[in-house]
Amino acid sequence: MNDYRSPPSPASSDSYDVIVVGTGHAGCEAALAAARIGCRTVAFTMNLDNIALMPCNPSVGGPGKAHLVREIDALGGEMGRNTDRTSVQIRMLNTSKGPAVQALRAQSDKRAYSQSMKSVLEEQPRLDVKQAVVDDLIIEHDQGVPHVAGIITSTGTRYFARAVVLTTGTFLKGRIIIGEQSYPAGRAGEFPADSLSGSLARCSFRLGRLKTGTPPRIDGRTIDYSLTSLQRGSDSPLFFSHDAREAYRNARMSSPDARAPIADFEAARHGSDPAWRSQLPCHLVQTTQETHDIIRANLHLAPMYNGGITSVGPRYCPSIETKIVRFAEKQSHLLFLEPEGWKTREVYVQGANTSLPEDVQGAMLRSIPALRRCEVMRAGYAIEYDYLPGTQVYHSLESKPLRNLYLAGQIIGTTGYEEAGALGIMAGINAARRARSQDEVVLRRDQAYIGVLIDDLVTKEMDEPYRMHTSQAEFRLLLRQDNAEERLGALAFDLGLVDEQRHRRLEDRRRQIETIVSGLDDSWLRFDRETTRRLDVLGCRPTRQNVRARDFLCRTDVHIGMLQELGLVPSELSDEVAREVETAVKYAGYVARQEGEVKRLRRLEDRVIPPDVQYDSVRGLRAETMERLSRIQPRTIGHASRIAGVTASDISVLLVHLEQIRRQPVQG
Amino acid sequence: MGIVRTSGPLSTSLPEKLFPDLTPAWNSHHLRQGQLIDPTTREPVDQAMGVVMLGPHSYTGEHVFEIHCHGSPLVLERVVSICLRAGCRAARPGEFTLRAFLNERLDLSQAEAVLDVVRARTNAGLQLAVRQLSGWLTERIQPVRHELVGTLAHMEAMVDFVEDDIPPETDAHTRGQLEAAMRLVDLLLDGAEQGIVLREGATLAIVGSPNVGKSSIMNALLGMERSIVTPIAGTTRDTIEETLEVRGVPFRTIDTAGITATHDVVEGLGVERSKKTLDDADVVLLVLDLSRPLLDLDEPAAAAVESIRNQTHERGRRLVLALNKADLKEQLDPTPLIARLQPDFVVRSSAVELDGIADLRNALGQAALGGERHDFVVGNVRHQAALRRARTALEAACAGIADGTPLDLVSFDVRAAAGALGEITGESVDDELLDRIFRDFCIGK
Repeated sequence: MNDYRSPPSPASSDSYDVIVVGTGHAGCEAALAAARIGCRTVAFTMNLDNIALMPCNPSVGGPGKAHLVREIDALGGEMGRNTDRTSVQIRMLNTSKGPAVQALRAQSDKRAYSQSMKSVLEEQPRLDVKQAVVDDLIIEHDQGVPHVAGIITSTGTRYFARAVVLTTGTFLKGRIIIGEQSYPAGRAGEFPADSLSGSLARCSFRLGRLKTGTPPRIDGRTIDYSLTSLQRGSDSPLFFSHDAREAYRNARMSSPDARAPIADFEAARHGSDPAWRSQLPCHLVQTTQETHDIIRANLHLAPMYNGGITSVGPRYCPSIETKIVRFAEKQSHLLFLEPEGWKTREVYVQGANTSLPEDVQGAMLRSIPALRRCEVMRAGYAIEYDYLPGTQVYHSLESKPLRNLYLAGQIIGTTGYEEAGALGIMAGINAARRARSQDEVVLRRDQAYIGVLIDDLVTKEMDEPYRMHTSQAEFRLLLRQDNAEERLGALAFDLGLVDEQRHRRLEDRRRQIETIVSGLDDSWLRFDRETTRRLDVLGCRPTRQNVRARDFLCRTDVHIGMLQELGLVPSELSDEVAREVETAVKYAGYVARQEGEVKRLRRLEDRVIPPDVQYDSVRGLRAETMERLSRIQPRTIGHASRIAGVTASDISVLLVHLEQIRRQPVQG
Repeated sequence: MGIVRTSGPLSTSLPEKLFPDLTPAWNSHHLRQGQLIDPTTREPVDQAMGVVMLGPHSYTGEHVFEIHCHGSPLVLERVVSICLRAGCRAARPGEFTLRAFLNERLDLSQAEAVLDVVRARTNAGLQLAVRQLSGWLTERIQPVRHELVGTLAHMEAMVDFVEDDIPPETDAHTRGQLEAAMRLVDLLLDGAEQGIVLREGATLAIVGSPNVGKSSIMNALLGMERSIVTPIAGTTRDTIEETLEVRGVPFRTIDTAGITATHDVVEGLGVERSKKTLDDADVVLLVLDLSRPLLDLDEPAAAAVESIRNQTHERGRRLVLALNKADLKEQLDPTPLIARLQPDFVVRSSAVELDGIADLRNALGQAALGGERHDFVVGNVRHQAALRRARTALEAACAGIADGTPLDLVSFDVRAAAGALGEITGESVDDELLDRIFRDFCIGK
């Protein structure tokens, strides 16, 4: 690590507010957020042709992940918009399991996604995008405290900034493993970043090693689709982003028969709604006994089983070989054949993650009837990379060892584009705020999935890549994908990330929902013959007396559409508003309970732990707890209580200690 | 003997004021005897002993002063008021233990157990508090909670891994799992009710006309079980309640002399006044003399009992009918009275026959506990509250499944139930849930 002394190096140098290293899903959001807030920003990429690449499944969303995308969108981020511009298929999952867990999931056109994001970066004022390999950080000291002041590229060029965001993905000492072969790579066909890893280790970061993997891609022309089952996209319009929803609504209003002006990439097929874009279907196949036999016969060639890989992979993305070993009793596993875009024949085999040798991958796939003649275009592989366990950053995503350095994405142990994007936008926001000497922004667990994600990362010492699930959000009834804008819109406006027009629209919508919901208390469903007849037509149990509209809507066999039919609620509502009203009423009791819980826990969050607490001097703490607390440095009692292995009695000991400190007379 | 304790910095200056005759050299942990005087009036109050215990080597961890004086409520009350005038304030309930906890003299579970021990009025209550510490409750709850987290893991897997081919569970199966958990919680909650009775006791009214044998029954009960006479903290110090321990339940007896007083009968006031008295009773013991026919004299008692039979009572008041003097020749057919009063227990007793008294004791115990005594009893209030929350949540989850409530709401209730049980066992759902999902289901499409 070079301490920067002066004068500047012979190579040219330049100065920015914020430097972002990497232009994957984290880097793009970080760079855009910083520039949109008003910072002069530069983003470095090793390859300008691979911006926002989707090296694994070109899919966005799913439970937990869709929630993140909606939150990114509410914060003015790009992932939702870019997905809406480029998806080949979108669906709503969990439609029957309740609004809190309903989730959008889209398949993107991989190439289009990357190109579209590249254009967005290029058009963004105050943002420069440069191709360069970053080798080192410029470190300065302020009264003995080290902070980062810029970066040095592999050509020796120095760039200075008030804050630096690192989003290195799988590139730090990346190594690809297929069968018994292995070679250094950042992603398939790309060089790893080998120097930066060493620089970070010298700055007293602890480095760990993670593993992830990707399945083979096959040639769509060699699939016998007649032997697969079909999975269609949505017939009705669905969008991640506010902007696409608005664009669609405006297009419909100006010309009801118009087709949506959304994608340039789609074929000329129509769904049921002429304004809604066409969808590419996915297909399902199942592994056979023969598939399992082939895998078992070749397990000795699988790096996971022959010692070629020792690092830990994610449990929710096991390789096909792992599934067959661990769930030996299962006769068959589902595989999804997912198109990678409108203009390519490549098909992603979801569910067949593997690092078996190439020829075994082919043989394994060809044991499935629909894939008898299939040709592998790209082999699946496993990749190992360095990461910095997340407990080394604060909730602001600023690193603990080095001030002004922010980390986002796989570098702090997540997996997934959505998780990366979520961390990226928060790192970008906080880096920009540091550059402008403003307070940090931290989202709470009861406020956003992003808050849950970051709190988990900085609190729990995980040994596998972190993926967002709805079950990790204890307040998930409050954190619906539908109300992301209600939760974060005002903050986004304050930060300067969404414009006034959008903010006003949001406020109008909020008022509209409130008016309708409170109106439900004053309107009644009469008990008379006519109503009973109409209820019967709607397929709904009759009432036995006059019923308040709110109570009627609470019934499980009643939905908001019926109230509209019955004239109790205006019929010209947008789908979102109607859905929000229904949710607000049906969930009211549960939401109130969760809010009560939030309030109760907030008291623990309000008990701040002074940063100078010496845990080894707390009498009665177990040694391992002392060690954990010293390492993670929780900010509040609530935060400390979420650290794995910290028990209720540890917390009471800690409370006693803090109480003692408080009672001590102030010195001098 | 009674003890008055002070805790805090004043504790080191109080001794000189209250024991002016002694030299001011109060060594820590040395008991000294002397004349306790009231500093304002200089009047002697008691020949007493005092001890100073300097912090942190005291129960609360602070400086403590204790006065060991005579146990008469009058003396105790005076000593307390002297201390209050000298600058102390009255301790809140459990405050010494709270301070001990804050000063690290006790950990949370010890502090809770101490409070329970302190509050226990009987041996049964004491055993309960002690058993609490040994983890027997955790052992009972753990397997049920484990099942519940399994159910939850399945629901969460269904929600989070939509396309992962998770085999769906039938509603009936899920409800079966939830109802099994509910059965255990119910059993423990029954025990919790008993825990309250065992710790806090029940009120017993013995009713009957003169000479039916109330006193002999009382004496027989006292003779067979240890009788305790205690001044009870928190009540006025000049009254002493008589406490009778039957089958582990501390009974407080209510004076019902008025009920059968002849002049009341004459004036017709008896029934009204007795109703009021009986209102406070958890258990009413009506005693009849089998050896003589029913007399007019028995009617006020019977009428009073009848009048409170239909009133609601928070724990469900029980009636025990004792047919006394069963060793003599029977002159009374109790059938009409039994039909009229519908007693919960009917016992043939005889003060001279031990069998009858043993039956009576069983009947009184069951009447107070609301049934047979459980082998396990949840005494801790925090645990009881957690069980009640688990019960409510399980009920809501079952109802939700029945009327087609979406899975995210049902799972919210199941999670709340597992969370409440986890508060007792000290386990957190959050830490465990993902592990269970990945262990139980093949995830990763």
